[in-house]
Amino acid sequence: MATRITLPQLGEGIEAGDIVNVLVSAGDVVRKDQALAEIETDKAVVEFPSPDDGRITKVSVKAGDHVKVGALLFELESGAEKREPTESVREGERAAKNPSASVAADRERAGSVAVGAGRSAQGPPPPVAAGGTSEVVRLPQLGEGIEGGDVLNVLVKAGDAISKDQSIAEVETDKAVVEVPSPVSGRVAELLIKAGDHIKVGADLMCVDIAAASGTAPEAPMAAPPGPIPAAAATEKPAAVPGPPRAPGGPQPPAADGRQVPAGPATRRLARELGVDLTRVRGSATGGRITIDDVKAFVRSGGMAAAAGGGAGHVPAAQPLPDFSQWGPIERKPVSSLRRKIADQMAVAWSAPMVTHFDEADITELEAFRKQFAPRVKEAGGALTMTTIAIKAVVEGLKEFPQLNSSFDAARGEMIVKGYYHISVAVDTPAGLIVPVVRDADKKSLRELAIELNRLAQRARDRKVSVEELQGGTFTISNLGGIGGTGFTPLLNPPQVGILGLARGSLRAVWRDGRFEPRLIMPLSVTYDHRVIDGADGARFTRRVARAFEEFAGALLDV
Amino acid sequence: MAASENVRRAEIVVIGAGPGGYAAAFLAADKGKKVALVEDSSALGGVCLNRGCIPSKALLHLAKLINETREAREMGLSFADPKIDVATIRKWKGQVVDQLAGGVAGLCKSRGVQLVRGKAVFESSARLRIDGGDQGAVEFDHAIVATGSRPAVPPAFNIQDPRVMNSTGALQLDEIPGRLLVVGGGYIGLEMGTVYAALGSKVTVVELLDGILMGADRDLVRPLQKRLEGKFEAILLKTKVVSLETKKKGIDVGLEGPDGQKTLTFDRVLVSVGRKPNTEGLGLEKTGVKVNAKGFIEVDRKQRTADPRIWAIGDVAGEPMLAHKASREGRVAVEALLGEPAEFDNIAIPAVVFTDPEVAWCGLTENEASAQGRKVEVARFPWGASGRALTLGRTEGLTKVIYDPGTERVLGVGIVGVGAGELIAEGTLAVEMAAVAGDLGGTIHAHPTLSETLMESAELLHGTATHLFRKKKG
Ligand SMILES: Cc1cc2nc3c(=O)[nH]c(=O)nc-3n(C[C@H](O)[C@H](O)[C@H](O)COP(=O)(O)OP(=O)(O)OC[C@H]3O[C@@H](n4cnc5c(N)ncnc54)[C@H](O)[C@@H]3O)c2cc1C
Repeated sequence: MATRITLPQLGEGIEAGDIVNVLVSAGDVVRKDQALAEIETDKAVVEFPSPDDGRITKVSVKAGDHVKVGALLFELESGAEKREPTESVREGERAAKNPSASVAADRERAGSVAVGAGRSAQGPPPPVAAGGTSEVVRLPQLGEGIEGGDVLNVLVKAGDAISKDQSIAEVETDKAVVEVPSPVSGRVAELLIKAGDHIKVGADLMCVDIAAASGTAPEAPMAAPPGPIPAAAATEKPAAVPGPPRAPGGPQPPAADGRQVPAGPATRRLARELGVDLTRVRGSATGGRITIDDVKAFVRSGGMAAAAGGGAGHVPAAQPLPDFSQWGPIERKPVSSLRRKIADQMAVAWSAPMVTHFDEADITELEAFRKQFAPRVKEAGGALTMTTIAIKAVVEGLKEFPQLNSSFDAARGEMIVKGYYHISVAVDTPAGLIVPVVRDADKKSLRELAIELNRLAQRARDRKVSVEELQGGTFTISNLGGIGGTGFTPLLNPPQVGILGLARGSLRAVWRDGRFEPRLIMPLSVTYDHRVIDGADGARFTRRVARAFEEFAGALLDV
Repeated sequence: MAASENVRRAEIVVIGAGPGGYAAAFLAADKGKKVALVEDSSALGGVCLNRGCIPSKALLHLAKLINETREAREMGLSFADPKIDVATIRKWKGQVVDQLAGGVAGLCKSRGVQLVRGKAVFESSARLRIDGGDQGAVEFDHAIVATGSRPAVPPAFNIQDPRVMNSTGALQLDEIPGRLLVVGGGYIGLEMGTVYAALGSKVTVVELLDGILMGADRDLVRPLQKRLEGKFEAILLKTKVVSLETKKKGIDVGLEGPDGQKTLTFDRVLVSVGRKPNTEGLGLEKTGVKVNAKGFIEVDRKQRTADPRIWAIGDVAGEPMLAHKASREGRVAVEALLGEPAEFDNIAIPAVVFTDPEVAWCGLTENEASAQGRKVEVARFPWGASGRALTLGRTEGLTKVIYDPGTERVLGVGIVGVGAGELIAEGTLAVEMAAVAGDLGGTIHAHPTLSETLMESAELLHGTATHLFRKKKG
């Protein structure tokens, strides 16, 4: 009874995959959950487990094939058959004068024509006792005039399921290092050698329980090329893959340190520079190696935006521009690299689903306070601006709403909440927008902030800020109040998830304590990343920041 | 008062002028930063230049010359036994070291790196005190700690007898002892043992574990071990030093091994059982830097410590303690702290043991693969099939390449044989570039050279190496 094994759904939205590696060949006896193939999707490389015990009767794919969900991969003759006595090469081999030696001799004969007694024999099946039989495997003749050697490495351990021809040990003779193949399939009952042993031809190597993993299957067609050793090797997989089959679509296990990504150092560096996750890039060179061109192509194709926006936003490729000169005179001016950087960053920002919430703060008292102390701060070399005060207000808000002080790792489905408050401040400079970062704003006094921000802004205008001073911000403030406006929708500064915009304050008649009073009202707005912040929290945060402005002078009493 | 006049300012201060520290300082200066380099010892260059890589390799070169003149006899070339003038050897070795250390000082000067002599101790995350030398302080934006390591000498070996030495003592070459005991079968012990054996000492190595060079795959160690067994008096494995006693005629050493206990007498004992990071007495407790249980500073892939102003590189930042790892980390640290997208993301750190034959490896070893349960394919090319090895009279070598069975990507390379230390460079590049078997096999290698063994290992994977007729896997 052959079962057709088809490619299952590997994960949400994954419709197809590439066969990286076929781990079994026709005739192999496999066990449930044993990996049959490695399949690469655009998410990860997954091992594809066998649904049942049995024997592979047909392999319909090969490495490099692109297969769709539902495509036929293997045919499996399942479980029931394995109880029946199956053909074993043992008899055939016994018939040969020097049984195991013939296998070894094959191996010494070059190339893919690995025929010989061991492989072609399909003698009558020996009766297999219900309890299973075990056989002692001995060291075969390793070559002319070689009497023995030193065991370098034992490649199996007690309990392992092994298949015929699987290497069981490496033995070093004075000519060469030879791998000793197992003449039978089964389960290793007992190992009789260890690394370092000196053994002679005919020495006992191990006891194999033949019935344990069912009989040896008929051989694959002789023309089959030498492939990787299939079958039971799966039991040697790292402990990271316990019992149940790995969830399809799950991440590739040892990639933690990025070692698995096939890319040279320069390519990896470029990827970091561009913020590209190399595990998402498809390599075009041999062995799937990712080249510099692959990384650039990935960025151009919008893969980045998909990564940043979790696939939500997609930056369409720039549309071809018309010839504007047909309508009048034009001038083409190169834009600075700063401008290009801003453009890129804004395009990425735009891809996040964001919401802007508006509020206003009564800053009448605050403005009085600011005016009173500004001269003193100025003496110390600072500028007590509304932006400086906003840093304090924002930090207060962030402490209560840490989700606004986070980043969203869409690839891993995690929110990264930062334990520090580095506030980015948008500075309008002759060259364009520059956003330096005030570090550890929560640990600094208003005076210190005023001095530091003044210095940073000046350095930004002089284009003297270091790259480092532009990095690591957790939340941004953009104050356009000095210019005017009644409100605006600031754009996120990714990977941050929140930004505060301040517009110009104006005197308004406000109903207070039973009468109209002239009050200074400042409009403010907060744009937040709706993927991680809900509307209600966005509103609460905005109100909290507004309240911080309103109660600022009062709060100073407690400082 | 005097101290406060002596406060220097630096954007980046580097502590320690070893291969990690000076690489970092030079790069930072080249990038336009104001850099100060603090060094406690009178000579620049750290352990590597003064009492590590360089003097040991100078002496190993002499050992090689001596051995080759002896081996040439079989090829029909006889030399008289060498006359060994220890004083001149010491002088020559000293000149090599001085020339390199002077070079480092010159490069400091021409790059405008401010050299500060004395021991640096952190007073805070922004200020160092300098003790001795240029007494005073350095205020900094960023510090890079590159204080290296020193020999670990267990208290039991500390018997206040100059005849019990560490690697520094052994490199001084005070005398050529009649009988030398090397405690520890790691690379430093074996290299120094090789030097002394060539100069005429009877060398015994004791090792606690059941093999020498335990970090390397056994098939690479075997040819070396065979040869050393011929050159050394004994290699005692699974053996422990249980006592040391100063006697007039030598050091009585009690050994306990598989055959029981015995006491042997040696003229000198070299203790090379490992190295310890220099993190004590640095004032790190005044900073946010975290140190792990073994005394190494904890760093991330950008070499950042837990203190945002402080970075650490080289031996003090963890294994493997190798000069080339230190200098690469130095460059990563500087670039990362200047905001460049640098990371220590290297896949392969080559390890070279400069014995005779040399042993070198990089990337994944077979031991590691089997510990991880990772399936690999290994192609071994024995040097018996290399024409070049035959012309050198040295066919005991082996080149092996470890591949990923699916993609045939080169995951690791191991070589034992003469010149392995130079040959490993190609393997390192292959691993780092994610080369596949076809890349190595399809690149023309000059003939006759030992580098052909790499090409042929790649061909072997496909079962058809020109000079070796053997089938790998069916
Ligand atoms: C015998 C021997 C042979 C070796 N052979 C090799 C080899 O062949 N290849 C290889 O790659 N590696 C070799 N090594 C290892 C190599 O020497 C080290 O890995 C390398 O020197 C580490 O460099 P580093 O910059 O981290 O520190 P180090 O070279 O240890 O330099 C640290 C410097 O910091 C100074 N210092 C320490 N504390 C302070 C302080 N508080 N204030 C001021 N200065 C301070 C020290 O004086 C020293 O100069 C060998 C080592 C030994 C002992």
